Amino acid sequence: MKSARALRSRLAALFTTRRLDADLDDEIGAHLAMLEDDHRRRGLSASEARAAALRDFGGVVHTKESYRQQRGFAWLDALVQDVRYALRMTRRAPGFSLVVVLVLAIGIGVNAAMFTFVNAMVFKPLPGRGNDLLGVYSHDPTQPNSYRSFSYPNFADIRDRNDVFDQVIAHTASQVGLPSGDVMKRVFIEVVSANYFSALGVSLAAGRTFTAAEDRPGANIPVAIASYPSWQATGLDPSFIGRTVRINTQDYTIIGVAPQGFTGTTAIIARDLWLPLGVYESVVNDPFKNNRRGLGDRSNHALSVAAWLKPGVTIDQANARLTRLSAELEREYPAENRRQVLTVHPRSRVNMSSAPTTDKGPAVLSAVVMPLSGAVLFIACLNIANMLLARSSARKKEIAIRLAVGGGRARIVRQLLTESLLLALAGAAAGLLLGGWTIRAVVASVMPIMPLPVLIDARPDLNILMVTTGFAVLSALAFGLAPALRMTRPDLVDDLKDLGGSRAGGRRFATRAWLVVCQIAVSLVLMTLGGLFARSALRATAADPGFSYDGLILTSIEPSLAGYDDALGSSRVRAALDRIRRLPGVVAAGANSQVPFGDMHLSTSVTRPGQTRLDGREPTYTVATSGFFQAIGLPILRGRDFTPAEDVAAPRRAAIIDEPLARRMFPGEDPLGQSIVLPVLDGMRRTAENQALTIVGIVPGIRDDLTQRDPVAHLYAPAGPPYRGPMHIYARTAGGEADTIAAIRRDLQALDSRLPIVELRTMREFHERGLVLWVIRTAGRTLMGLGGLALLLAAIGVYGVKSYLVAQRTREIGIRLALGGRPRDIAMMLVRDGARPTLVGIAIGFPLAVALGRLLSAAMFEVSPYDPVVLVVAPLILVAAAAIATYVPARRGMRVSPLEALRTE
Amino acid sequence: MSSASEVPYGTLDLMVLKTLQTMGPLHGYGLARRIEQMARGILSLNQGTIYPALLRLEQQGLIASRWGTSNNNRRAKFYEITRAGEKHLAAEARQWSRMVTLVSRLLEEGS
Repeated sequence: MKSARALRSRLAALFTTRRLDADLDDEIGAHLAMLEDDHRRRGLSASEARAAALRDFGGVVHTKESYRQQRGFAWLDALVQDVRYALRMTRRAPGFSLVVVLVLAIGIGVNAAMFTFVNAMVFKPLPGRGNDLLGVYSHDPTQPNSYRSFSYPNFADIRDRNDVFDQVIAHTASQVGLPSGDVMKRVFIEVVSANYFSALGVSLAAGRTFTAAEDRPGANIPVAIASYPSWQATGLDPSFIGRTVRINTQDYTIIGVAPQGFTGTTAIIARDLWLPLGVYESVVNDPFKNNRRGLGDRSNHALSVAAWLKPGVTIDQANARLTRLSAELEREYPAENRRQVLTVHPRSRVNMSSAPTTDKGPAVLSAVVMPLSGAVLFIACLNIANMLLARSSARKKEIAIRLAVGGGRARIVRQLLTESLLLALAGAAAGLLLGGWTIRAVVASVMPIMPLPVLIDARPDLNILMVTTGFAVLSALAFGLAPALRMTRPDLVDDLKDLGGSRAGGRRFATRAWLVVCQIAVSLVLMTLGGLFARSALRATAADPGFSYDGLILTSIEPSLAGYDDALGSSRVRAALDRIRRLPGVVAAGANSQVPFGDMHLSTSVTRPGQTRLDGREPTYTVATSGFFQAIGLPILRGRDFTPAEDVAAPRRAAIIDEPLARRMFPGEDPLGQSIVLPVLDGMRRTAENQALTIVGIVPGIRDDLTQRDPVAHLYAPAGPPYRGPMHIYARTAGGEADTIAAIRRDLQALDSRLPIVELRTMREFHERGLVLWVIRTAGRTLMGLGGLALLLAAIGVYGVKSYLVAQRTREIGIRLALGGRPRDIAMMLVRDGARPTLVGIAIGFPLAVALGRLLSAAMFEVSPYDPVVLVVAPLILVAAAAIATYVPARRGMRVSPLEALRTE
Repeated sequence: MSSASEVPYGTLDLMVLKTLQTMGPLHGYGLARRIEQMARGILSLNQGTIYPALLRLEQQGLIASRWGTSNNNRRAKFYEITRAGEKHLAAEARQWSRMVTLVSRLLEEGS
């Protein structure tokens, strides 16, 4: 308690220094006066009494000093003093301070933005108790890749028959249609068990969570919990709860709103709505899942299950208990649970797979991008170090005086570092703002094309604040320490005489030249990488898909979003295709099940009869109607197209394969008329049944996405049953795409106003908005941006050093001019001197850039890390920028008047 | 005064506390003069040194201070011992006597 009181009094003293000092002065004054009085009473004269009093008291200043030391923390006192002094110094050079803060804001802002993404992906705690969540998994250990989801009854058994879990939740994600203008908007929802929110430990922003009645499979009570942004869109209208929202074809009542920033059990991926398990059958009809059997059916493996351990229970204990439970379930329900073993694993933050996964991917990605943005900060620091050194000539006299009057070197270094830290913190604050804007801009640009909604909170959390402060402290040390040490070691006498400035070209400049060398080297690395990625983005944009985009219009229809059954859905698609075919201007039209260069590609296993498996990558599996190949512009090389009869026939008999698959399956043979065996698909889900198809045609290969160098194998099957799911209609027009799009919209509206059209645009537009292309372009833009920043900073650095050098050599230049030196020669000499650090920097940076390019070449699209254009252009740009940055001050040097130059001394 | 020694570390606090206990509230000058009187010929005291000591004791809650008026009408800060100070003084005094006994015993043995 005693020390607490002392601490409080010391802390209080810090902030009331001035008043306390006055108090002490008063007290000592009174003391001296009384002493003086006593001495006078003993007969001393006034002046004698005064002297005696001071003698008896013994060192007024010393007393005050030790009193003050006792009063506050000496170091804190010094810190406050340092900060005050630093503030004064930064105010005295506002231009310099502003530039430093701006340069740092860029350097730290880039890193803050980058780290915000990394943080969201890798570090930021999941909502509520999400971080402690374990995934429950089910698989057959005798089969590879046999992880599967859970049926509701199995989930209920796991929930009710264990003593290791505190809470068990079930959920599954799906896409549903919300009407939005004249197209159907696909939104991402999650169907969750009633305890989902309470088990996660999050409370809703408004309203209530689901009840047990709403939870019961098949209950079909249409209630929904909305996302916070959707509530925000209404201006947080209190009447939002109780409103209805039309999902597919049913009206749902909004009963609650999820908290802000809620991403469920994963990071980053947002949901638009949460629905109770009871409405599963009405909303989950995506073709990957089986919706013919209800959720209550033990053979419908539809749910992801996750759980929290009871306190004190280990994962091993939980696994042991689950092994026993697996055996019980297998005994009781052998048909559905044969050989299935239950396990728990920590869950991935970003993956929703039914198999256990780790977060290695995002972590590795982060480990790659952070150093790249760190390099920009590094250059910024080199730059500022350079500026501080340049400024040191201006402050040398001040520091020399402080050293001369006995200021400790450590104290002065600390003072200088405080100044650096102050600037760094200001830069960090500005950088946070800049980073926040950047993130908002990037998220806004990616949102419309993401297949899943992404939620990245641009508001800095504790992690981001800590890391940004770390950046600031590190950069303050990086750019402040060396100049501070150097500045406090001047030649005292010279500096006091103000001669220091004229001793040009000494070691001080050498340090600065090396700083420039580093900047140039790092800039070259960033510019080269930026160039490689930019070229890769250009190539990707111009990539030839294997068919022509000109005049190609894409219309995607997803009948399940309207709640249509399979028969009605496919008949509507056929009717739509017929109408589009008959439109004037449409040369050819056909449909298939997945868009080339789209975001999703389904594959299938396929064998020749009698074979067990096909080596290599599984072929892409696409359902196609008659006329599809003609519409998209792939010629039938041999054999024939599907017939209109085959579009509806069941069972399916025919198949068309492409050349790459033909070469792999039938080397040296004629594939036409051959038989192939593949699993029967239910929707897009593979079943255990097999079917045989006969090859009727061969088409050329195409690539599925930009990352593929060569066409991959494809297998095309007719569009008849049992296929159900979205269909994409391609219309080839002879021109006038906009008119045709309008005509298609009108026609389909007339056909069926409820028909869920999810895409209606040109193929080129669709391609432009592809996710892969976005990633490649964004990588290109980001790295180009970083490279550009680096270039700018390096040019500023070169300019600064050169200006300093020219200023230092003013007298020399004056003498040369006076002796008849030609201004042009002098400028050349200055430029030549300036070129050296640039060339050394390039010589160091070049191999580094090539090495890093090789490391990252896997992420580049069709660009070699030795790309000659980039490897020549990047150094040239740097040399040009450095030359300009050198020439401007050199020209100034050229114009020096000899008289003036000599007079400056 | 030249033979007088410096104030041993830590003893000044004890002297201040004891003086305040005996004399009641005192200002800094009165305190210094009283200690000087008692110590005449034994200790040399720079009067200023009592101020850090007073602050230290106040921070520890052993004494309290308030501004008041001295006998000859000067504004001065008066110090007075607190209950905690009394307790502390008693404990310190016991400790001090024990130390003194021990040290003198050792010194006598040696002589």
